[in-house]
Amino acid sequence: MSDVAYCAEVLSDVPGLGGVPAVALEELAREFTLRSFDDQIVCREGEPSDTLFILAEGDCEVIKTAPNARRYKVAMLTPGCLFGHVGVMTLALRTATVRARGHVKVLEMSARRARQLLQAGDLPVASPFRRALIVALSRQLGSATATTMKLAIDAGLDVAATRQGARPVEGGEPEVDLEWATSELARAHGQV
Amino acid sequence: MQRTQFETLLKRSPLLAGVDPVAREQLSARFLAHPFQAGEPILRAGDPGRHLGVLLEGSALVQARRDDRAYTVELLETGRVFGEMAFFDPQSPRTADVVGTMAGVAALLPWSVYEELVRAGDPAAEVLERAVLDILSRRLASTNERLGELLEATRQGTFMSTLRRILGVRG
Repeated sequence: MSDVAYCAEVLSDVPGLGGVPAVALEELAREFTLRSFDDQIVCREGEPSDTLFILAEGDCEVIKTAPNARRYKVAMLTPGCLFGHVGVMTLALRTATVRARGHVKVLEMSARRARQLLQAGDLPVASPFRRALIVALSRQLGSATATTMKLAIDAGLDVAATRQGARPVEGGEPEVDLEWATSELARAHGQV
Repeated sequence: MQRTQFETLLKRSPLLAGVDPVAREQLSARFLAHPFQAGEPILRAGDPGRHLGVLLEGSALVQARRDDRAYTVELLETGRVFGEMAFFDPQSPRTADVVGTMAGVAALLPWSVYEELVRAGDPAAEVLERAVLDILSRRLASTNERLGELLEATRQGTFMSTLRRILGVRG
């Protein structure tokens, strides 16, 4: 199987790209480069977000360093996962490190090319690419918001009424398990 | 609400305010007006219809259900775009309800309308995708900033006050 055909097959499993015609997927596949990693760092927390990736084969772990200097394994990535795109979209530095577990294959695209594609109006591949990014960003936002809500509820805050300026639930200062809160926040913040 | 008033609100919403005037006219004419009361669902989990929504008036919350219990996962305020994940990903069924908390009006774009624009190569489809991406990127940047602040607050011992401030809770 050629690299392009292989990349197109990988892309067909990316959320948001299901149902995209094979010709368009092949066009999009040509925009990516195939790379392999063996137990290596794919991208590192704190570095500029100059590339976005799609995991093609194998698993990667996402590691985040919290302000207490502890390192948390915040997620496992499986084939079809898009990662490294958050900084590409927000121009922020990487918020977590991604490490290959064993042999891993990824599709990669430079941030510059990704931004060009997102702005392109006349390329047939641009629309599916934008849709895939919308789905990826939306999933991350959903998970981050749910985490904040979970923490607020655990902390005894009346979440449903907060926007109306409600007070916290009566009963004194709630006890929050900070270790738990830190690991939850690290997970939500460890978006690459 | 009159159709003209509905479209005016929609054109001023964060989704369409920044897009070019021609696409803004075209898109606003294609959204459906969906008035709702407090407690009434605007979109339901498992609904077969796919809609992209914008909250034009009133407020709503996103509610997930587990073991017959409803959990609030997000509060939506006027101007908010919602339903984008299930809208743009055919393999991602809607997993939560969007329920009105204060009577208002939502603008809903059916998938079939968007699909027709894409098929016809209409630039309005691209404008819509870019507008949604832009909103999500900004939302993610500010969410990440808040999460970073909260994370730092766990170390500094200011977690509760930071959480209250971020959520707008008094006291």
